[in-house]
Amino acid sequence: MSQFNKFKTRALKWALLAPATLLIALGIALPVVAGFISALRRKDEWSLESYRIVLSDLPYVPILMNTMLISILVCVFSVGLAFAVCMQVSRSSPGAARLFIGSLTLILAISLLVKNYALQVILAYNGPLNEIMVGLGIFDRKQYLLFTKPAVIVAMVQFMTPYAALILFGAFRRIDYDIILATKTLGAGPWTAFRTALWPQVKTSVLMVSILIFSISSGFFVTPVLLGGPTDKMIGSQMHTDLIYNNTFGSSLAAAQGMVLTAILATITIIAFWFAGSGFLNAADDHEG
Amino acid sequence: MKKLLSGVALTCLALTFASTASANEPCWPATADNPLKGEMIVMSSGGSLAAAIEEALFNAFEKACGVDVQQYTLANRSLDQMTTLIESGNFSFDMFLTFNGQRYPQLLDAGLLEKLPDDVWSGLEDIILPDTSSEYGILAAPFTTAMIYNTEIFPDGINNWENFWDVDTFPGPRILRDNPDNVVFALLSTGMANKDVYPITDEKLDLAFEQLNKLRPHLRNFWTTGDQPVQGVGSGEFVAGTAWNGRAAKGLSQNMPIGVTWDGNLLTASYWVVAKNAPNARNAFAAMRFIQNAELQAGLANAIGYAGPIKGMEKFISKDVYSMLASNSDNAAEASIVDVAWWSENEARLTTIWSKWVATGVYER
Repeated sequence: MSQFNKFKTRALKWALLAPATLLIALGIALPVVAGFISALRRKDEWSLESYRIVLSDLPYVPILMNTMLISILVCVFSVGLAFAVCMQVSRSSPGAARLFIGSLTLILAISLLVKNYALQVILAYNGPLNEIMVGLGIFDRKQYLLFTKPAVIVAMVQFMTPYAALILFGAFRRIDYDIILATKTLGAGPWTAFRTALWPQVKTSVLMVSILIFSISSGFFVTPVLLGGPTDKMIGSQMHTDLIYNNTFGSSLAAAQGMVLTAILATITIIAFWFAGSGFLNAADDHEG
Repeated sequence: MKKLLSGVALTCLALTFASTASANEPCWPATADNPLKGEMIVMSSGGSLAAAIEEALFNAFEKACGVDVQQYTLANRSLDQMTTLIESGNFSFDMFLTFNGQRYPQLLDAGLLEKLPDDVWSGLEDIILPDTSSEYGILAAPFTTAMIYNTEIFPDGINNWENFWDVDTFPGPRILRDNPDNVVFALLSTGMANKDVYPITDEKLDLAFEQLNKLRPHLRNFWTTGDQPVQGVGSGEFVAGTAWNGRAAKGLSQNMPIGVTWDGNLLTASYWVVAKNAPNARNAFAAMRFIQNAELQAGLANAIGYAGPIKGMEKFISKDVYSMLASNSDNAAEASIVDVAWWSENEARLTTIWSKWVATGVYER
């Protein structure tokens, strides 16, 4: 009987693990393997040529660098903005917090495309921002604001900040302010209090959110096309161009770019794990407490 | 000898039979004993084009011939995707629209197209224009990439590609398509005649990029979706650019301040073809033939500004729509016709050169 119970427990454990494991195996591992292999396949032969081209030739290297630069900037701005807001709102009344969460959810419900088109209207040469800036005398004449890197970054930050805030807010709600109060009563200044009492309580979450924002940003595709100029191309658009118009090695090149991006993201995540040390692994336990 | 003769006689008999049958039977090859039945899956790019095709062409076919037509849409389909879809046979579709002009020879070379029955076009010689049909397909919709400009900024227009390149007389930012076919415009900007463009030799390519480099500081962006240039030039974000004729027509119908210059427009076409081993090939052959009808094609033109070049369709189309059709003979006369055979062979190489240049400004052959 106890043997049977043990079996039941084990079966239940596997039954609970199986769907997620299968999903990861089929949804992540399989495409990665398939991508890796199709990048090695150039027409009818096997070769590392696609990887070589993507890692050393024009236009792939500048596009990859650009993708990284934009993702890093978007990550820094989004997480920074979200951090400041969450720090403030988490100490406000429960009503303010509810309003905050509610408005974030509402913002997230608006699609990326709508937000991008809205910015296209706002930043247009004959658009409202130019009119206002010229009217106020801040610009001496209309500026070309669209199809620039800042336009892409503004749009992506606008899109990513609510995500960052929503996740960070959870961490900030769990902050034990008694510890901060204690450091202050012991004579710590604002900076020391932040560094020794607040930061250790949120750093794991900040790191996780940063990785998430960076990863999602690096896969952006529509925004650079709609709001960026020719030199603001990101890796997603180049993969698209190769797939559709390069009928000899396009799929191989696109797969190689996908693999390189995956490798970069995996490396960054592993380094982050390593830096955060045990805190990262214990994050789940901390959150329960 | 006798056998051969009887064979010829039989063929003649069959041809006579076929042409009489087709004259009376819009649902050819259906006969009273063997009508069309079942379904047919049509694939196109989707969006407003698919909706218009269904409305203007296939609803009529469904109604007249009793075939259940299903639409399947796959925007931006690559040759690899098509190869996988057709060769695997996992997803079967019957009749489809090629992604662009050069995709037709590419698909043909790859052996992915079903040969049409010999007599599929017989009896239609009076309405199908010469050189628009073959034993593997028929012109679905000629379309063109033409120059557009903002009429509020340049009321007198920009008349040709030499002037498009003349940034002193016509200052302001421009937008071109993110596609290597711009090398043709660059060549025309040197005063080259339409007929001298092909084949684009390496010397011509160097010349084209020399021209493109000159224009580069004034090229603020490259478009990838059809509405971008029309919205952009219409709103004054750009002073001029290039656009597909159907999108330009839509902009004009919305009273946008744009003008179209047909000189050196890049005329090409998508084709209706049948996939190799299509499960409902017979229905597809019937549909290919059924839609070669002036009234049906005029309906498509009125709906979306693209249509197959069928003789006699003019009388069903409004003058505004007709003036913006790529297949309008006045517009076609000024066109630089895309050499699909040349592009089929060189598209991959040119795409690599082009995307390098767009992203970095570096031209490397």
